[in-house]
Amino acid sequence: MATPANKGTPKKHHPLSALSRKQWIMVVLGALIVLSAAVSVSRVTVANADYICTRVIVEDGSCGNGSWSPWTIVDTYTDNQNREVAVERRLYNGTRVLRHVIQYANRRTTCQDGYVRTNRGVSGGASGFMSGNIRTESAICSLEERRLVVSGDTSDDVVRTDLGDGAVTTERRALGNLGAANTFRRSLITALLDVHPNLVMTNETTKITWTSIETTSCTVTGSNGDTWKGLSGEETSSPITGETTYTLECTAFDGSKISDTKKVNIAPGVIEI
Amino acid sequence: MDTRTLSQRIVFPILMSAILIAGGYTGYLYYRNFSLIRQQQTAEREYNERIAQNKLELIEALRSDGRLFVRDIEEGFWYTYIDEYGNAHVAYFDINRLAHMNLSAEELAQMRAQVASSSLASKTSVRSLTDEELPDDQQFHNTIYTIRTDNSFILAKDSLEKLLADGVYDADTLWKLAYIYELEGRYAERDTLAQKSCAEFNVRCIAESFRVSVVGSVVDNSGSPIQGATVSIISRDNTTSIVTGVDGTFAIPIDAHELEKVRVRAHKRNHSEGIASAVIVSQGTPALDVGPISLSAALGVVTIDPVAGTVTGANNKLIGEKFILATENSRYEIPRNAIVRRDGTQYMGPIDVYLYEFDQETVPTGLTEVDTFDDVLGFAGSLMQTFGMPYIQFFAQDGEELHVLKSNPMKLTYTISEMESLRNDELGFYGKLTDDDMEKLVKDSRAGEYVVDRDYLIENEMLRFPAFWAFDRIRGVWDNIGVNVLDVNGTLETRFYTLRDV
Repeated sequence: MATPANKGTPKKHHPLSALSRKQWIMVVLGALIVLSAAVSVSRVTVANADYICTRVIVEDGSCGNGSWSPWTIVDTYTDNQNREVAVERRLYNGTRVLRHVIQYANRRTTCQDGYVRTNRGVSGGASGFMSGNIRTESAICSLEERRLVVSGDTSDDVVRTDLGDGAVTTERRALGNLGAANTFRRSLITALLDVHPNLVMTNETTKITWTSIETTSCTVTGSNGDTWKGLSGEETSSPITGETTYTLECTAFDGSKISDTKKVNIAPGVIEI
Repeated sequence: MDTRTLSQRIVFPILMSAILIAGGYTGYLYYRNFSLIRQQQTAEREYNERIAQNKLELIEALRSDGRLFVRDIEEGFWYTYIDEYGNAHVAYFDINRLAHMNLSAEELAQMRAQVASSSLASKTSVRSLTDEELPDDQQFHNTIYTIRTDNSFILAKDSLEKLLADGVYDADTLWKLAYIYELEGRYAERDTLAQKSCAEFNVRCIAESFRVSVVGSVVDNSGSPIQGATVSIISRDNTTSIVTGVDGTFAIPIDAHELEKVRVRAHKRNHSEGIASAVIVSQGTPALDVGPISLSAALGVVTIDPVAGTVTGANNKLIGEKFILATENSRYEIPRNAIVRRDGTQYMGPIDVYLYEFDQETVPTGLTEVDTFDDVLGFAGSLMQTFGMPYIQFFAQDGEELHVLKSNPMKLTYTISEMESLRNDELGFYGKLTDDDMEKLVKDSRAGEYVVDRDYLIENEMLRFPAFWAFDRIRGVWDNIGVNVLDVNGTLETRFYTLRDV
């Protein structure tokens, strides 16, 4: 039996009081409603989803076992330097091989990891799809190559240029124009060597840095026996005990040689009195 | 003791403990997530560094080629190289794709050598034609051969056959139907349609053919050449067979048509046969390289004599009118009168029977990279994945190959050798085969006769269980056949044949 003192005491809410329970019940009911709605939606969605999921396991993007047709002229015009330009075209026909792992994914909304959805199949339940199979796709592929031929121009500069975006460019050489490419590349051949500082106290070291452009191999050698290889680099010398000469020698892409030389000297001695 | 005191003494400590535990756990989760994110970031950084390093190595490997700028290598370019047979192959150099392949030093050297011997074209001077830009016959090929999600093969075939039957056809109709028959290995029907096309429309006559050399090699599973293998073109009846020399290679000249599918068969006594095929895309291709055809040696050979009723081998016997031949996983019941010559006439003399059992490791590619057909899709691809393959051949004493027809088949009982692979989904393609799956297969098999075929597996979403196929030796293709699953261990039973006559 409750005491009088307790009669007027406001009722304290327990953490799991009636109100809280109501709130919890509301929350749970709400969650159930949301969940059932989600399930219903997913059922509807799933029923309409009928996908093929594939994974390419071997891909050879090349077009092979074929041949190029002869070049044929498809257009001619006169350029702004009053030269006759012929647009030539040739076609390659071959085959391309792709291998797919195909997974039957009927009644699913997404493909599992590693697979991609490639197409929508026939809706309406299980039907005649292949799946769980590896299939080789052997498609015919065809490539088209275009080039420009400028009549009367036998120089390396403008014989064939790109037609990729429909514009004729003369700065960006096509790879077919090897002479022009090589002329330009040869102008870039560089080999630079630097030593810092170039004046050191006896037994101190210095930093050797070098870089090169359009080269295939480089070697740095010091008269003190230091040696390093690489198209570019940064190294610390061994202790310098006397005048030392460092030489960078590079072989360029066309086989020519290029070199650079720097010296390191010993600073004059200072006598303190 | 009042309520407040009770709350303070019991509920609040519990709540505080719960909050502390929840807080601690949340902290732990944050710490774990933070660690995971750090690990992920480190892994991502290392991966990106490796890709960057791979790109540098690719640039270094190719920049010595005097025709390439570093910018060409970075942007990509096309290169055309000629193989040993004179065929041109065009590939695109994509530094990003190659950098992800982690090429070894040897592979880089091969790539450099390949590019060095190629003619080059810039990225933008070459483009791939879309399917819509291809000629109609090439588009038809791609419709048939490339990945489809519907049964367009069967629909196209039915439609073309109806046009022919209704007499509403042109040269294009005849060619397309002949093209499908050729793929199916129905060569006589293909030739009939070609003759009809030539006679009625003067299209695709023999005069339009051109010379191509069909080349390849015959090898064993280790890639070593097989000498003395007989190679023939089964898609034509007017070419001679040749026998491979010490290097295992072959070259058979034929007068081919554009878009002709050439199917080649290689066989040698005591070896499984092998099939390879390729399509001649266009005139001007000097050689059709069908690649290496691999053969495997037989597991064993027994001799049966239908006349004398004898059979060699301790595990083999004649029971009633059936020879029973047994290997580790297979049991054949061969009717005494079932073995015939190619023309269907019964052979009654001593017969050597070669028995094989392949698994994923031992199956020769000459049997897996073969055109495959079922009743669901029609053409179902050209690459099989085996989970165990029983294989059998019949030869007369003089080497003549003999057959068992589908109309008078053997009964084969076979226990799938790669059940563990299926149960564990070791290839990661199909999902795990479960006990429930197996029990359903056994139950459904009892309800019908050889009901478990590809159609059944698709309808029941049971593709975790492999479909069963029979290899037609003359057409050179695989046909799907139904089986009964006898037990949950993967023992199955089917009607088996080597030549489909019905």
